[in-house]
Amino acid sequence: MKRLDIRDIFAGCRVHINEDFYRDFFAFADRSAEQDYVKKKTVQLLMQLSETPVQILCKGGSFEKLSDYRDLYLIRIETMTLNLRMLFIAEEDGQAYLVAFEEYAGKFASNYEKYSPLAVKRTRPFRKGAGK
Amino acid sequence: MNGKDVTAAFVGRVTQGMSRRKVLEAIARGRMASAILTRRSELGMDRLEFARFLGISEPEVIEWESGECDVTIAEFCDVCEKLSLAFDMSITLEDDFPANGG
Repeated sequence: MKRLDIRDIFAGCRVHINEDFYRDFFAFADRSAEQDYVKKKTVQLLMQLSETPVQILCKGGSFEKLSDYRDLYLIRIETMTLNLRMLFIAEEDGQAYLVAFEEYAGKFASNYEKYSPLAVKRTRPFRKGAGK
Repeated sequence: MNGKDVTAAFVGRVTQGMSRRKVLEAIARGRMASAILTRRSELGMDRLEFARFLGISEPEVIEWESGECDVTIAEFCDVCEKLSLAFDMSITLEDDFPANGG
């Protein structure tokens, strides 16, 4: 059997990541004391988002649809000290677009109002066909 | 960079420094969690009903569904049996396995 290459596993990944998300994620993850857990959990959740319909994922605890915002969802990662949120847009064809990364110290209700227009703006380049 | 390049770069960087074993573990946890979630959805059960069906506690269901559980082979086989979930049990040597065993 051919030795599995990690890049092959994600070759058909249906999750698209924009440069703002990339920058914000690593600005956090590379200095976090909990980066091993965060990165491992991120791999797990990316794999789930790529392979499983988002409606099913939302029945669990890690994924949530933001009810007031059309097509906008979040992924929740809770570490020992922080709440991390990854916002994404999910489309009917199974493609998902990670558009924003946020970290919160402690637990409080989050306001995602600003993310609805931001997510639409950040998803636009993908929808024009770039990267597809 | 276009979207595909950013995604590939992201996957490369997020797995950089992680051992291959840890990456494969993360993927296995994700696939197991998704399989359990999908099956509960197909059965139309809420978490409590599902816990009773499996003979485990509700917090344990949450652990299974979030990929946070550390189960024994016996427990894993038991849940798969109860949910009629099949999994590939073949274990084979990789063609280009490292001489030192990896």
